[in-house]
Amino acid sequence: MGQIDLEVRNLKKYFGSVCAVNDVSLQICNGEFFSILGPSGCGKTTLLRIIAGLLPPDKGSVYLRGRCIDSVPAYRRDINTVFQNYALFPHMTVFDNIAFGLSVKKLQKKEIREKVLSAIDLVELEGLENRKPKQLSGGQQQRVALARALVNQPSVLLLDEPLGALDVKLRQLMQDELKKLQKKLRTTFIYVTHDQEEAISMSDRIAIMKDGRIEQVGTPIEIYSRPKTKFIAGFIGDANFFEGKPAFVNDSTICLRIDNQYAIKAFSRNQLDISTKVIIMVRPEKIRILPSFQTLDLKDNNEINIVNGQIEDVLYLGNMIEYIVRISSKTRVIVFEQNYSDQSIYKKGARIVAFWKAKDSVLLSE
Amino acid sequence: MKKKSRYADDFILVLMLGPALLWFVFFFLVPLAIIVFYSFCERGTYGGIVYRFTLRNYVEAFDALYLNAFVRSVRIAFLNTFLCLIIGYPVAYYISTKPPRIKNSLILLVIVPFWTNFLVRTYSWMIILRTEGLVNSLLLGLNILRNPLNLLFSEKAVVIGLVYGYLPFMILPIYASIEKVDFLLLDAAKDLGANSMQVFAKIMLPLTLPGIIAGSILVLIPSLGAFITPDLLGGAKNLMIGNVIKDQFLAARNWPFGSAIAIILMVIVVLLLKLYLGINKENE
Ligand SMILES: Nc1ncnc2c1ncn2[C@@H]1O[C@H](COP(=O)(O)OP(=O)(O)OP(=O)(O)O)[C@@H](O)[C@H]1O
Ligand SMILES: [Mg+2]
Repeated sequence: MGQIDLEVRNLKKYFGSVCAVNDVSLQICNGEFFSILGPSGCGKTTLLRIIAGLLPPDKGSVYLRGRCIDSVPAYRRDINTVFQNYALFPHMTVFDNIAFGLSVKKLQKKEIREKVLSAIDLVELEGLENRKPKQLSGGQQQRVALARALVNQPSVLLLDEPLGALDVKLRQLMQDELKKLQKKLRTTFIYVTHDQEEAISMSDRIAIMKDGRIEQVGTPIEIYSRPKTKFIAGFIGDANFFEGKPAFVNDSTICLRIDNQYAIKAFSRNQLDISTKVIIMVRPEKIRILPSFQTLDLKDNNEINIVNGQIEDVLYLGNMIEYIVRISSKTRVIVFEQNYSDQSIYKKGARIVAFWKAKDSVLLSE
Repeated sequence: MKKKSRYADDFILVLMLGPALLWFVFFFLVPLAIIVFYSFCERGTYGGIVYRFTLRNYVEAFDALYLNAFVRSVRIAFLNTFLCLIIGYPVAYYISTKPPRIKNSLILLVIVPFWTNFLVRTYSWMIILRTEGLVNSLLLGLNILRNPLNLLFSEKAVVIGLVYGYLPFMILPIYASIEKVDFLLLDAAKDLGANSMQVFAKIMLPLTLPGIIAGSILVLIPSLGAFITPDLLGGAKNLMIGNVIKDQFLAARNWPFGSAIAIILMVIVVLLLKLYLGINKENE
């Protein structure tokens, strides 16, 4: 990846006894679309405010293009923010809102006008220049906030849940537009969201945040298919978990007994201790369902986990079918299946066989 | 059908506005009409009113003596408003940055003086300002001064007394408008490159302008007609127009002349208000 644009090292911030940001270190590359994903209250906004210079950290440093900017006040940082609820200036027109950053930098009137008009063009707000923010729809306000930040051509743009207040349809539209815009401008985006689908579909890399800490940083594929912790696996997408002490361990394989009925295999890169508790995670769409063993081709059964079960519930989702399958008295699994044909949907109570590849069993730490 | 319901709406409107309307007519319009009427009457020999039309009261009001009082009143009232504004704004801002519980106690402290009679409070300023008073004793005691200051019975004393009396009327509306400002907007301005001065001038000031206007009007108008403070703290030499009116009605028993001056004061107030609101409209 390219050169590092923004780096934070060991940031810490307390509000009273609450640690809102706890020892956060990140490196974000030039032109990257970097998302920070986490549940409400995990410290995302606080982290962005520290980076923007609006909040002094209790510990740690922020570097912009290799230079420490801890002592640079917010108004001199080459970083702009799209705020969580836009924070548009209510007494100014759309034009003046967008022109604000340029006019406080005392640019020529003509230059300001040109830049603002091209920013208005960029976010497709033509004809609304003279409206006040109150006279705009949520989506239009969002665009103004975006244009107001982008017109300054910052090295890094911080976006704090910019689409959080929009309805689903508009959000999807804006996601596409934002992504296109970012590709076009090659500005480094740090994008905060608590919407996992949004993070996965838009980002080059994602940092998962929980209780002020960064739990994992990686590409969407890494985060989705190789989550490090149970929290991440559950937060990003749906997941089935199997927990317990392993019955068998060797260099590469681990076997977990569940409910004294099945042995579930997973591959592990590092040597595990037989006495430590493990968690195995399987994504619902990785599990397949067949009517019986006979239909299953068992030529490489070493690589496959098989369980018997009974369909307990069927949820028709249109393009997908969600099955709740009881595989023992204590355990149920969720299975997603593509809706190949409406006739082949299993009925409630049907006895079936569920299986998945051992390499799709992901070993997690607590 | 539509017309009928509109009449019904109008009827309800009249019912609801009725009491306020009556109050306005009987306690504002009627007294005002009486004063206007008196101002065109002649004065009786023993202080009564002779119902004969004359313009003499208005001509007399432009005598240098009274003109000076008008000019001085306008000057003092503006000075008072300005001082209240530059003292009151930071106080209001300071209060609004505090946590809610402290905020409420501070606002209470601003209001507390109203629980004591204004006259009593003005007398206490006489004690503070006189030659052997608190200010002079302190300054002399600390060897800052050799000779006591002549504070009492001067224009300074009047202004101090007025600022003291009217400051809450400035602080409260400004506080209310600052409370309405989303402080995130200040962060947004900083983030976009505005320094503290620019944040104040471009965001805070315009957004709190309604409070500034309200506070200024609430201070300016009553201080134009003030008479207790200049009476007690200004001595006889610092007559404001309020004192003239009071003296005409009470001491000189010249009601028609007092009425004429009161009407002129009202016209000045209305003109100033128009000017003031006009300027602020342009700024919007
Ligand atoms: N000014 C403040 N004073 C005290 N506590 C604060 C302050 N700002 C944030 N917090 C606390 O710090 C924690 C992190 O808050 P933050 O706003 O960063 O969360 P967030 O991840 O942005 O949440 P959301 O997704 O809801 O916006 C929360 O527990 C919050 O209550
Ligand atoms: Mg937030």
